[in-house]
Amino acid sequence: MSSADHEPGSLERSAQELLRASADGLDGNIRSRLTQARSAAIEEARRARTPFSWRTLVPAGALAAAAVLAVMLWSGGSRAPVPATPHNSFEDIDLLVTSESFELLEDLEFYEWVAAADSDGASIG
Amino acid sequence: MSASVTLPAAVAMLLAEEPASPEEAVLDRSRELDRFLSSVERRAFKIAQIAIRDIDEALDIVQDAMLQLARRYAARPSEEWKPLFYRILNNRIRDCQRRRVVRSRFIAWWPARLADDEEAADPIESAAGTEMAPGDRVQVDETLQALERALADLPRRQQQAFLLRTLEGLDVAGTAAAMGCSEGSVKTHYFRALQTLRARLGEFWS
Repeated sequence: MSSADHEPGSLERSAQELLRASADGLDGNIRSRLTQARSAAIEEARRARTPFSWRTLVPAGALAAAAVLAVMLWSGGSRAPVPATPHNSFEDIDLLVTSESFELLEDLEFYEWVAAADSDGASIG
Repeated sequence: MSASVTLPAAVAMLLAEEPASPEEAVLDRSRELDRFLSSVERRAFKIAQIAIRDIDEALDIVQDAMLQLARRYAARPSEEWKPLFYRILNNRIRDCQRRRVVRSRFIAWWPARLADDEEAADPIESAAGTEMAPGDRVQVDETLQALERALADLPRRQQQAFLLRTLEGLDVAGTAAAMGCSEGSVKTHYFRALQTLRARLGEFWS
């Protein structure tokens, strides 16, 4: 007790003893219901304070995956055909350069000449 | 780190200083809250029962106060829990009493029926007789009944001040925090409650 408090008199002491004895002597049914209430409150606090963890990501990840799959299936049926692009001989050269066929690389100058001849309309041979 | 510290001691120091994981921190906090609620639940119920005079409603009020504290204030320092909890509890008791006043306006025939059926029955006794469990009823002696009747008849703020100070053992500052008023008001309410109780219960403690 703080200094502002006073010394309890006989009535206060007797009342305190009686009331505390009464609170401590509550019957089993009430104590059980108080315990249930406390457990519910603790569970509530635990839920409210559970930190971010990978376990919380599992349902969110499953939901996101399902959403992506749904979008893919939905858009797959209505996909428009890709329009043909004009032929560009330089793309062919890029493809040749990036391929792993070293035999083709050896004849690079020949293919460049063929491409140049095609674009100029000249006949080969 | 000084050279005199041995390796096991240094490891122990490091382990002691290592912060707990978030999950462990939540568990520790839950255990602490559980201990706190366990320490106050019976007295809180008693306070609600004296104010409301109904076991089921008193239990609902205590449960509601526990949930509210856990939901909104579990992260606060534990030394703040007691005044916060009793403040919530007092607010719930007040809400319940207000609902009863409203309800009683619509059920005006109820007191008349009581007067017809019983000769000047005491509302506390009749409430206790119908609501209290038999085991609890046996333990309540004549003095306690007289005290509870006198407490129940006190004005709400005087009753709160007396029960928080006497039953729960809060000091003036804690009681003021729980009641949401100044320490001077607590002293005034408490003094008036004591005067009333002395006048009414003098025969039991003389």
